[in-house]
Order: sequence, then structure tokens, then C-alpha cells
Amino acid sequence: MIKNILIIFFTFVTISFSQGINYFSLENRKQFGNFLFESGDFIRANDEYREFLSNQENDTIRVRYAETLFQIERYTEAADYFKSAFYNSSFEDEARLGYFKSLFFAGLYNDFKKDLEIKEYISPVYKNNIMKLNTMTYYLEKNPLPDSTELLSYFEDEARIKMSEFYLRKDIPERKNGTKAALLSALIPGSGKIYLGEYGDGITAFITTGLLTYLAVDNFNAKHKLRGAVFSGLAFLSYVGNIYGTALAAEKFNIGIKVNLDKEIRLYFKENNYFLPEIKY
Amino acid sequence: MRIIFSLASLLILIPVLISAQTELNKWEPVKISYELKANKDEPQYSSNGIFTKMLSGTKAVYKFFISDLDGDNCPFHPSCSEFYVESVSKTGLFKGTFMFIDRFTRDLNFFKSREQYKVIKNNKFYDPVEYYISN
Amino acid sequence: MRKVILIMLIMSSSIFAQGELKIQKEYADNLFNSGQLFDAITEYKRLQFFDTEGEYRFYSNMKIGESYKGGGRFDDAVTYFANAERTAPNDSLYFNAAINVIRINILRRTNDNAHQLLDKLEKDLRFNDRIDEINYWRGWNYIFEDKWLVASQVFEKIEKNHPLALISKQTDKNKYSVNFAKVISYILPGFGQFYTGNYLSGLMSIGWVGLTGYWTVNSFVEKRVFDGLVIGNLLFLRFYRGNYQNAEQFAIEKNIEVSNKSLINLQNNYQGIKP
Repeated sequence: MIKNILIIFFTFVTISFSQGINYFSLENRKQFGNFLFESGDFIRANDEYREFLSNQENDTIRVRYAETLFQIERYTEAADYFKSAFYNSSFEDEARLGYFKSLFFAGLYNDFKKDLEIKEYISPVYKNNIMKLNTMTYYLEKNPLPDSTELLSYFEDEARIKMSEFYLRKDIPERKNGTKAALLSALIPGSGKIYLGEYGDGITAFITTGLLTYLAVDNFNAKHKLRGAVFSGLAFLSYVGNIYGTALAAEKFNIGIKVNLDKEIRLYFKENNYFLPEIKY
Repeated sequence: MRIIFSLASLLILIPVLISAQTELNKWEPVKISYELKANKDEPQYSSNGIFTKMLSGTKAVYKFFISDLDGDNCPFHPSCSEFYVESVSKTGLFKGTFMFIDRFTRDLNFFKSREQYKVIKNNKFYDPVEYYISN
Repeated sequence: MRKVILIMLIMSSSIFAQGELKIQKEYADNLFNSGQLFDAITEYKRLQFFDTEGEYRFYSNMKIGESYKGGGRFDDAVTYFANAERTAPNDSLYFNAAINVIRINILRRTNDNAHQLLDKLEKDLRFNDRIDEINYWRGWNYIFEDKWLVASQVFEKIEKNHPLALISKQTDKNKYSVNFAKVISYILPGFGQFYTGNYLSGLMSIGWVGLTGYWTVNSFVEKRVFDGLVIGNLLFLRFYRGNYQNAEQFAIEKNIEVSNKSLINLQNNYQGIKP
């Protein structure tokens, strides 16, 4: 009797367990996906979640799936998935922030601004973060900046000070005037470079042009016509080359200012994680 | 003692857990070469106009007969001759020539004041043509 | 009675869980063996996740490390081999994992790291009897550092005529002496280039140095001191300097060629275990 019961029980247990431990069941995929998600392996979590979602709906997994897409830098797809969680989800607010964050990282600033007009797209919980992202789009674009009051109003304390400093530097960069520098170099060779702060180059240009001119004059005086002509040519080239070089140096200086500011801004945003909050889905 | 041990193991584990995603694509196996890398890079010019061709031809002759034999004299990278060909290929013969003259003056710089340049490998000052042309 | 049933239940569940784990392991192994390393990592991670008892923890860590290595993702590989080190059930397996970390360091040429880790293993009393293996990898590390002579000496510690010792020694012999090339060109311009087989360049150097040297001397002989100084400084010295710089450069380049020839040969033809 007992033996029979045992056998039946054993068979039952066997069947139930052999069916229960299917590592590829939906539930197990979800569990494994969550483990991968939390350990930062988003690309593999993405695969598990996709399998899960193709069979079953779950609002947590949906936003998590979107987040994995975001993390593996497939930003436009991430935006689509975040958008699909805008309604009837327990993460409506997070999905909206995720949506704008994805557009921001995809560099789709126009879409970003267009969707900002739609009132119901903006989550009241994360409005501040979304508006900060909006400000950052202006800082990263080449276009002139709009009025600062609105742009800076979402930042506080230190961030506000830093952002207004960037605003000023981007709005009124300390550019060097290329024309002025070139004119100076035309008057006195090398002086334009000195104006640009490159003293060594300026004085060198002055000496070489001067020396070549002196040699030209000297040779003409000594009736060495050919040598005189050669030195005149060289002096002329040196003179014009220096003027052009001065204009270029100003150009380089101005490009440098822009590039450096851009780098600095990007670094600042990155260091502050784009002012995004840490979200638990 | 045990607590210390478990705390220590936690400390070891944390960096592993927070390591960021490094795989953005499904990658394929690669063959890893044992070879040492020789650092030689052949310059590539942006355009192939007639002046560029003529100049790079002249440069090749100059390089073969003189520049390869008189040592490493230019403090910049790219070197002055490369800079000349590149500037002509980018801006045309006249502007390119003036850019080269300016570069040559800067090469000559009696005071060797070169703080404004970025230093790269072999202690060369990085000064490519692109720095002077805004798009 | 209840106890018996309970025991049966636990046993059967664990037996079947084990069975499933084994199937999962084989699945992952198949992917690994067929070269689908990315997917193999996924399945080894799945194995690890469901393996609550930790039976395959070490094994899967090692396999994930090897898979990342196969993909050239050395940082990830080191992370997992280090995990394996921590989860090693015994000293021997610990040693294996540690060697794998070292092999990655050799392969990605973080040779100082590799040396430090080898020192650590060497000092470890548990591995006194495995000094040959430690030396073997130390030799490889020197090879990847391009120090072939030291490498051959280390391999000789294992065995007088170790095949790698012979190869390393031969490679070292085939190398050109950078200093000799430079010094000979100081004394006899162009001869350093001849030494490295760059005859045309050597001849041209001789030509330039000779010609400019003649001009310089000639200027001084004809009492044109200024000309002599200018030509001497701007031409003669320039070509003289270029001459020995070239000799040095050629020797360095040739040595890289020699090393690479040996390295390619080792990678393709050496039968023993490699980094």
C-alpha cells in the first residue's frame, strides 16, 4: 500500500518537476531577463524580454524592454516602446521621461520640441527633468540661443550658475577679429599674430619678412638683379603668407573656442548624467 | 571574522555588478593577431585635383632624394610637406601655398613657443590642415 | 512516513533540476563549440542563474570568460575569469582560472600586470609544484614584450631544449643591433644602412654626406668661413644626423619584422598551449 502511494507520488512529482523546470518558459525568461537587467547586461535582457512580450503583456517588462533598447543605444526604437507605455501602464510617467530621453539621445531635437507642445505627453512628475533636457538640446545645437529666462528657469543652485555661464559663453563667445588681425599684419608683418597672443610666431614672421626684404634691397643696390628679384619674390610671398596665416590663426582660435565650449558642455551634461533621476521600474 | 570576510567579498562583487554594458551589438568571434604594430601611416589626401597630383609627385621626389635622408627635422605632425599637399588639396593652389608659407614660418619659430599645440606620439605637435578651415 | 515522502520529494526535485541543468550545460557547450560565442554566453549565464546550488558556477564563469576572449573582449573576459577565481572549488581550478587571467594580460600586452600576477602565483606556497607552468607563461609574457632573449632563458628553466627556448633564441639571434647600426653610421656614414640591408638608402646617404662634407671643407679651404659655417650647419650636419637616425630607424623596423615573423609562426604552427 505504502509502496503504491510512494510510486504514484514519485511519478507525480517527476512529471510536475520535469515540466516545471523549463528554463525557457515565459516566467523563467522574465526572471532571467530581470537578473540580466539588474546586472547591467542589457543586450541579453533585451532578448529575453522580447520573447516574453511576444507572448504576454506586462507593463513593467514593457518599460524595462524600452530601457534595454535605450541602453544598447537603439534610441528610436526605445522611444517607440516608451511611447507604447504612455497609457494604461503603472509606469506612465517614467515612460514619458524615457520617451523624451530617447529622443534627446537620438539627436531628434525637432521631434523633441514638437512633442513638447503636446500637453498630455508631459509627465507632471518628471516635468522638470524633461524641461532640463529641452534646455540641453538648445545648448547642443548650432542655432542661436533663445531667451535665457525660460531656458534657465528649471535649473537650481550650482547647476543654474554653470548653465548661465555656458549660456553667456555660447551667446557671446570671446572671438578674435580675423580682419583686424590680418590688417595689423598687413601694416607691420607679424603684429597680427602678436595681437592673437602668438608672440614667437609674430616676431619670427617679422624677422623673416624683414630679412628677405633687406636682402632684396641689398642685392638690387649691388646690381645683382636676378638675386634681387628672387629675394623680392620670397619677401612678397612671406608678407602675403603671413597676412593669410594671421587670418587663419584667428579662424583656428575661433573654431577652437567653439569646439572646446562644446566639449565642456557635453562633459558637464555627462558628468551630471543629463540631470536624469535614477528610476526603478 | 566572518562578517569581515563577507564584507570583503561584497566589496569585490560590487564593481562586477555595476560594470556598464560593453556589448552594443551581437558580436562575432575574432582572430586575435599576435603581431606587433609598426607605426607607419600613409597620408590620404582629401581631393585628387591636378595640383594635388603634381604636388604629391614633387613631394614623393623630394621625400626620396632629400627628406628621407636628412633626418627628422619637422616638429609638427603632419610634416610641412604633407601639410602643403593636404592644404592645396583642400583649398586650392593659392590659398594652400600661403597656408604652407605660414606653416613654414611657424616651423621656423625662433622662440620655439609652441604651447598652443597638442603633443602627440613621438613628441610631435599636432597641427593638421582641418584646424584652420571652418566648414 | 511523511519524512520519507518529503525526502523523496526533495531528492526527486533536485535530481530533476540537476538533469535540466546538465541539458542546459550541454546546450551551452554546443553553442560554444560551434563558435556562436555571443549566444553561448547567454546560455551559460542562464545556467548560472538557475544553478542555485552553484554546481556549475565555476565552469560557467570559465566558459563565459573563454567566450569573451574569443570575441576579443578582453576586459569582460578578465572579469569572468576573476569570477571563476573567486568561485573555484579547489586550488587546482583556482590556478587554472588565475592562469587564464594572466593569458589575457599577455594577449592584450598588459605585460606588467601579467608579471605581477605571475609573481603572486610564484610566491603562493600551494603552487610550489607548478613552477614549470608559471615559467611557461612568464616566457610567453616576455615574448609578447618582445624580450626574446629573456624569454629563452625562462623557457630553459623548464627544459634545456624546450622548443620555445630554441625559437626565442633563434629570433633573438636574427635581430639587428640598434646600437651597432647607429654607432657604425656615426663612424662610417651609410654603413648602418648596409648592415640592415637598406643598400640604396645607404648609398644615397654616403653621397649626400660626402658631397656636403666636400662643400663645407672646400669653403673653409677657400677661406669662405661664413659659407662653410652655413653649409656645414644647414646641410652637412643635417644629412649626417639623418644618416644615423635612418640607420637606427631601419634597425628598429627590421626588428619588428623579425619579431612578427616569429610571432606569426608561433601563432600558426606551434602545437603547444598558447595565450
